[in-house]
Amino acid sequence: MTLSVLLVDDSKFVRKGISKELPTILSGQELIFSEACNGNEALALLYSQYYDIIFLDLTMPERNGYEVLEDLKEKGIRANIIVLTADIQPESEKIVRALGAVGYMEKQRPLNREDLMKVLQEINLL
Amino acid sequence: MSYIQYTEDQYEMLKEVVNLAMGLAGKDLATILNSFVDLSVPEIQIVEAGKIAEKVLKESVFGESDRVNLFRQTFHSISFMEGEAIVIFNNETRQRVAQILGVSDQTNSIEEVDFMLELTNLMVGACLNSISEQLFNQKMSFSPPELLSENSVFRNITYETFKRSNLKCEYTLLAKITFVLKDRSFKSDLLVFISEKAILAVNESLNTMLADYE
Repeated sequence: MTLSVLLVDDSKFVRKGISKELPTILSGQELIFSEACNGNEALALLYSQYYDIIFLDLTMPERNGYEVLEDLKEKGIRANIIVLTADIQPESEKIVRALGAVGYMEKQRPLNREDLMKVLQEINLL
Repeated sequence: MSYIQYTEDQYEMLKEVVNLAMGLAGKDLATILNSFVDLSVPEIQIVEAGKIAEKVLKESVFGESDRVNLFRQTFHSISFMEGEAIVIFNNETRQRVAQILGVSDQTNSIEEVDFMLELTNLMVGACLNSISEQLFNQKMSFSPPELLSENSVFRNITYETFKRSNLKCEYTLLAKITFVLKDRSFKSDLLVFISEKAILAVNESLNTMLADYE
């Protein structure tokens, strides 16, 4: 099975971290990665193509992750969005889930493999 | 003048380090204010001493004529990580904090300053400890926060604070983090100035971190 994955983060090191870790967890599947480094780039890709999984940062230049989620909700575009963020305020998870995110993960360095597995289980990919 | 410059990759790694630290400070701030805090991408740059004031004014959340209050706290660790943090709040924020904490009716100016000192301690502590732990696996030591200036015009106090003759350094690593409440009733810039000596230590730590991604 082939899965398309969109990594949206202004840090290439975060994008690298996920693209390195994910294949070791979803080992039986072929993963095709695309990347965006801000909200505008992400929306351009999301308008034109379906992705099986999207990892979305919240704090980004140009258009942040909250705005991306708001835009997708307004346009009725449904997507498997996992928010991966350093914005860990008590309200953040509630807000992004209300805007349509299906998973929420706190950013850590290095990426926390167990958290990643947990969030993939949450969306039935594991 | 020659001094160390970070590569694009080093800046990007450091930005992510500061981003994680900002998230922790934002969480603490949101909890104490019981509000949602808007976080934006931190600005980080090595700046010559003579250009600090200009840089602070240009990138601030405040207008040049805003009335502001400046609080200062120094920090150091045994890994040569040292410097100072300056937290800027406008007058509206200072009053708003007292309201949010439910003490506005009885609050006098001294108590308001005490609240802001506490807030400075919380923001600087959360942020700098996280930066130091990520870079050097160590906690920081902090001086008690102090009031540097109150009810000052932002432009004037910035040029006064950062005038060349007041600064001992030739250049600094400056990180700026802005915290804003959704309704704009709370606005603050947290400026972190990392010393010349520490810039080299940070440089080495970033290289170690970058090696993990090669």
